[in-house]
Amino acid sequence: MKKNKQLDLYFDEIQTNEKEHKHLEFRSNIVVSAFLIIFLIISLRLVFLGFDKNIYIYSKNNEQLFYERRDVIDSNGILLAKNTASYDLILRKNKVKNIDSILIKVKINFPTVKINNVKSEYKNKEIIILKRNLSPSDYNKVISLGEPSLELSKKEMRVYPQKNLFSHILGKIDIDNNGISGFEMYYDKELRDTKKLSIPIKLSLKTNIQYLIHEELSKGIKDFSASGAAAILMEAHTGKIISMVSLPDVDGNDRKEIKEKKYLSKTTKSLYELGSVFKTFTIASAIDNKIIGKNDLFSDLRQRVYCGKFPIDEYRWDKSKKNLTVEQILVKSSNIGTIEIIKKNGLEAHQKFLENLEIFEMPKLEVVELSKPNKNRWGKCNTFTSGFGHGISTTLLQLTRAYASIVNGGELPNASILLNSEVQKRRVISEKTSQLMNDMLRANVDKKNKTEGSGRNADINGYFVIGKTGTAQKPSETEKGYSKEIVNIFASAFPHPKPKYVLTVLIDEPNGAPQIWKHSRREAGWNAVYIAGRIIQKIGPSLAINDLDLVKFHAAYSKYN
Amino acid sequence: MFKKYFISFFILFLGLASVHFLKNKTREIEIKTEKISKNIIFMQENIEVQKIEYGFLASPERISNLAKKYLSNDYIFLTSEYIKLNEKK
Repeated sequence: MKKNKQLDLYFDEIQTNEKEHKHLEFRSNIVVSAFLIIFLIISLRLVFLGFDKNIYIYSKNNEQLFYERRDVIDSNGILLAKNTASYDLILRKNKVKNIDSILIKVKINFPTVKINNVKSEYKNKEIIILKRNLSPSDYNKVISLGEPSLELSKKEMRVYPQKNLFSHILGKIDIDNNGISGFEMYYDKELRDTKKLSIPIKLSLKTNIQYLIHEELSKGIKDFSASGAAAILMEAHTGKIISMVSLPDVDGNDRKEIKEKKYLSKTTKSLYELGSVFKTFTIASAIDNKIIGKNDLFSDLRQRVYCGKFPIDEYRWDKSKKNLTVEQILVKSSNIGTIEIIKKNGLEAHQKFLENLEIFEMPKLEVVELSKPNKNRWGKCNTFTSGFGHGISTTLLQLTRAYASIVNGGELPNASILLNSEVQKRRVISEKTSQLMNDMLRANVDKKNKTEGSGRNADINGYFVIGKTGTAQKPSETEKGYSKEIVNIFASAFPHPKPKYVLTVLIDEPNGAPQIWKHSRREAGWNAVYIAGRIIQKIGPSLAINDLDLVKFHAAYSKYN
Repeated sequence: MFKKYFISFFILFLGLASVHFLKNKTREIEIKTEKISKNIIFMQENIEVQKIEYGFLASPERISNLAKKYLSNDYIFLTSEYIKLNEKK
């Protein structure tokens, strides 16, 4: 049988084609599968990337604009304290190649850096702080040096733009931004409240008034060669403090440790016997108890009285001090007359009245530098002497509050430096007593009064100042009894008959000023009163800007309207 | 059959491409926002520093010193009238 070769060939061809086709199909399947797998992988990756949120955001912005402590501003919005960015210069040991050349560069650019200290620290520490709180020029020097081992470390710094002005009130913070004194310490928690960092704390203080009082007190210290001075200006009806100055003081931006006693706050921390200013309270108590009247006469007053063995003398006694009305006892500042009033009022009533004025309580104010006055055991003699402010001590702040209650209609306000704090006050004397006291205190300052009052040097025309002086010897620091040094006070208010402002001025250890008075007397009438007058003259126009009542009282108003 | 797959893949691919287009655009906007936010913070920080500087420059002590240095005594005309009123006995 003959084979059909052609058919075979054809069959072979078909067979070969089928094989090749299968082979091709297999290969194309592999390629397509590979493509599909790659496509699926890419697609899946794309899906994942599509759902991934953060990968493309190159940095999440978590920077905070506000610093760790809130700003503090005065009642006019002027900045008193603020945190800002600051830089420290540090030396990083592991980046140092040649320590000597670096130290030479540091010495040339930052002469205040103590190289010997750096050398000793270099042996033990990895990071050495060379200089804190760099100035802008120092910052630029570090940048231009370009030394890798010299680094800038960013931190926060508290700045007090008004320098000395509020240093006793605001206090200070440490390098970790914690309050360590003054308002900064008392209000630390509120100042660091993270939810309120953008909201400044508003104080009742006024920078312009603070400056004027600061300036006048500084001049007063020079004029009377005093060791220090202090003043408080308070709103009589609210207890809000407008100004509180204690001298000497320090720049709040200066980070030095203060140890000297003279820098203690003379307004809230130092305790003083405040002298005859207390006669105001003695008389107010007796009038309020309806024991005496303004014109009641005390006759046959002696030069000296005895309490047991102890003599109590009249100050500068003359015949004119023999028969005195209540007003004259205040104006002539009669110690013996005051004792007679206490006898008439009753010792217990007098003691209770002083306690009711919170003279012996811990003062309340938003600062930490406060002192609790020592409460005496009441005896007969110290009750008598307390009538003219001897034998009892308190702070200038407590005196200012008590004085506010006498002149404002009879309500004792709580002192505060916070503008928006709640006003708290309670009645201590009647309105009528307050009005009578104001009239008598005006008589002590009025230049037209024939009985020349000790406060007449503060009778600034147009402000109708009222007030009472006090001169007290300071207790000796070395031995028992009193020293020769004195402290003088003038507690004043204006304008009469409805005072809105209480101003108390204290001069510590003053001397006579013959260049002003042509004599060397050093009682309060010749220094504290004079300074208070100058202060009222200067601050009056500033206070009147937002106070139409005060404007109407001024002489200029009646002249031009 | 192939047509169905092709359409499905095409829609899937188109969807993915759209997502990524939007994603890229969002990223660009986010970068711009980020830069603007940083600029705002930088400017605000500058304002805070300026506030401190203003506090120093406008302090009563400095103004008083400048007034003493550059202003004549009769510059504030009200002062003389005011002194007269206060000295009136």
